[in-house]
Amino acid sequence: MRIDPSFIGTVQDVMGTTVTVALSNEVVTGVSFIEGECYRIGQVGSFVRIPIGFSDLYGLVSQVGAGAAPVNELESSPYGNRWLQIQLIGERMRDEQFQRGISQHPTIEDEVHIVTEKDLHAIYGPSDPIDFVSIGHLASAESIPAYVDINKLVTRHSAIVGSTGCGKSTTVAGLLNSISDKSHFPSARILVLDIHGEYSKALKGNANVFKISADSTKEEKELQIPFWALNFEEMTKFAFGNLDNSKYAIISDWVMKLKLESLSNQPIRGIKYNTVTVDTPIPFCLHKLWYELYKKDFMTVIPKPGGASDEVDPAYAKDNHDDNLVGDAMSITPPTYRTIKTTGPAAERVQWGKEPIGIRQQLATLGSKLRDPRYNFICNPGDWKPDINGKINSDLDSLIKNWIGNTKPITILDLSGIPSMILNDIIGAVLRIIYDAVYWGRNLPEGARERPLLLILEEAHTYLGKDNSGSAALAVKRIAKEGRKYGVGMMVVSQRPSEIDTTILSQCGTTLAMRLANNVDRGHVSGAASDNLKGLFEMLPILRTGEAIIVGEAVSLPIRTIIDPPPFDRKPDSSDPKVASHGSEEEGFEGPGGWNQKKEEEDYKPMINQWRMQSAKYDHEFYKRKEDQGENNE
Amino acid sequence: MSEWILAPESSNIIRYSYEETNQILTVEFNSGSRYDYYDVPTHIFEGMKTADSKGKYLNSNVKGHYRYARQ
Repeated sequence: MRIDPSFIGTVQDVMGTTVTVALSNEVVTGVSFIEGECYRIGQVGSFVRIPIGFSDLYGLVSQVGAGAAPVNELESSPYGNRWLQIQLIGERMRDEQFQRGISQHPTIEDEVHIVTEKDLHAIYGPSDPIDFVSIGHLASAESIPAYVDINKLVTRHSAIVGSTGCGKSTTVAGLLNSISDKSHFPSARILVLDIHGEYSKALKGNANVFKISADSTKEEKELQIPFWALNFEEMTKFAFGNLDNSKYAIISDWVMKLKLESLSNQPIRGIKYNTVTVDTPIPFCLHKLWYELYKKDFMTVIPKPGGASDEVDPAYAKDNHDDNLVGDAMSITPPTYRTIKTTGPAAERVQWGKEPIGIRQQLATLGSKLRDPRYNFICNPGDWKPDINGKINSDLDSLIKNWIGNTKPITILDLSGIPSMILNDIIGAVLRIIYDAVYWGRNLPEGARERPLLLILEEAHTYLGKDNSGSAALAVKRIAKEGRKYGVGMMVVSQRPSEIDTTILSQCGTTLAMRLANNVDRGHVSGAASDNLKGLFEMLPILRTGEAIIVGEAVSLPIRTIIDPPPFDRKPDSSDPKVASHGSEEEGFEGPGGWNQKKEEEDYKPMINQWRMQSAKYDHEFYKRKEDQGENNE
Repeated sequence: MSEWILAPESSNIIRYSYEETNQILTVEFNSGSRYDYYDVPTHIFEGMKTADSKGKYLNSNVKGHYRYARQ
C-alpha cells in the first residue's frame, strides 16, 4: 500500500536531462486523490516532482508508455508498459522560489511524485509581484493564474503565432487589455500597427485610433504620414518608383534645393544651413517638386535670334484671353507648351528645352498620386502639408506625440486603407520615424528608455517575408537587434511564422504559440524558441481555441495557458462571416446575413459609391442624395 | 444616440434602438455586431416594441424591406 498518495514511481534511467521513470504497480488506476482533489497520472505536459534531500527537482512529462520504455526492457510487465519519460526543467529549494536549471541529477530508485495544485502555485506564482502580470490561467488548472514578466515580455520582444481562427487577435486584444490596465500601468505605451482594422473595437476606451477616412463620431482621428518625414530613398520610391542613378541624382538635387528654400522661409531651430542633407526631415513642397520637374521635362523654348543657346524664353501656349498657360503647382495643373516648330521664319521657331530628365512617365504617376484621395494621408497630410514655400502649420513633434505620447495607453494605427503597393514602405517609414525619434531622445523623459514602447506588428508575414528586403523588414530588423537598449520592444503577430525572416523570429525572447496546423510553421516555431522543450510543441496542432503555449524569457517555465479574452462586447472585429445562419423564420436569425435566409432586394450602387469614396462607412443620406440627383439627370 | 431597449426574451437580439429624426433602427445581435436599418417608419418600430418575438418581427417586417448596413 502506498503511504504517500502523491508517489507515482521510481527513477530508472537518467540521461542528460531526460529521465525515465517506471510507474509503481500501485497506481494502476491512473488516478490519485490528494486532499480531495483528483489528479490524473502520466498526462503528457503535466509536471512531476523528484525530491532530493532538501530540494525538489521538477520535470515535464514528455512521453508515456511503450515508447518511453528503456530499449532493453524485454520482460513483459503485468500491467503493460508503464513508463514515463521526463524532461527536467528546474528545481526548488525548500521554502524558496522555483528556478530554471538544475544543480544536481536524480539517481536510480529516487521517488517520483505527482505535482499538486499547491506545488503548482509555488512554481507558477509571481516571483516578484511588480514584474509579473497575470494574463490568464493555466489550461490544466483554472484556479492558477498565468503570470508573465512584463519587463522581459516588452523589451526582449515576443512573437504570437497561430493558424487563422485559433483566436490570435482575441488573444492579442486580451493581452493588451491586461498589460495596459489603468490601475496597474497608467503610463503604458503601446502602438498597434493594425493591418486589417480589427482592433479599434476590441480596445475602445483604452486606445486612440488613427485611420484613413476616419469616422469622427467614433472618436477616430485621421491618419497622416507626411511625405517629408520619409528619408529620400523612401520618398522617391513612393513618388517615382525605381529610378536609375543619373535621374536619382537630379531629383536629389531638386529636393535639396527645395528643402533649403523651405528652411530659409521657415527656419527650424538646430538645423544649420550647411548641415542639411537630402534625408534631413525638413518640410518641402512635393507639388512644387512635381511642377518644377514637369517644367524641366516638357518645356519647349523660343530661341532668341542671334542670342546664345541658353538665352531662351519658355514657349507657353496661350488661352482664350491671351494669357500664358503656366499651370499651377498646388492644384496639379501642368503648364501647357507650344509644339515644336523647326521650319518657317526664325521668330516662329519652337525648340525642345535643354536637357530633359526623361521621367515623363514617373511624373504622370506622381501627378495622379497627388490627386488620388487614397494618397492624401501622405501627399496632403492636413496640418503637416507644406505650402508652396515649404511652410507647415504643425511640426513632427505633434505627429510623434499623437503616435506614442497620446492621452490613452494604446494607439492604433489602422493601416487598412493604405494601398497594398506602398504598405511595406509606409510601415518601414513609420517604424523608422518612431525609432529615430526615440533613439535620439533616449536620455529624455519622452524617450523610450524611461517610458518603454511596445510595438505590435500584426500580420507580420505580409511585410516581413524572407525574401522581402523592403524598408519594413529593415526597420524591424534594426529594432529586433538594438531596440532593447533604447526601450523599444515589439510583438510580432503572424499566422505564417515560416514566412518570417528567421533573424527576426530568433530575436523574440518569448513565444506565445497557439494552434498551428502546418508542419513547416511548427518546425519553425520550435526551432526558433530558445527553450529545448520540443516535446511541448508537439501539442501545437491540438491546442484549443484561445489556448497558448508560452515559452521563453518572460515566463519562469513554459506554460500552457488560456489567455483572458476581452469582455464580450469588445471582441476584435474578425469573427467569421456566417454562411449558414442559426435561427428560423419563426424565431428570427442570429444576424441578417447568410445563405439560408431569403434574398434581399439588392442595389449595387451604394457598393460602387463606397468604393469611389474609399470608405467602408455607409452614409445613407449621402447615398439618397446621389440617388435623387441621378434621377433628375436622367 | 437614442436609448437602447433591451430584448431579454429574444434568443438572437440583445437590444435595439430607434432614432426618430433619421429613421434608423439599430439592432445589436447576440454576436455583438450591430446593424443599422435605414428609413424604418415609426410604426414599424412601435410594432417591434409590442411584438412577442422580436426576432420573428425583425425577420418578417424589417429584413428585406429596408436597407441595412453593419456598423
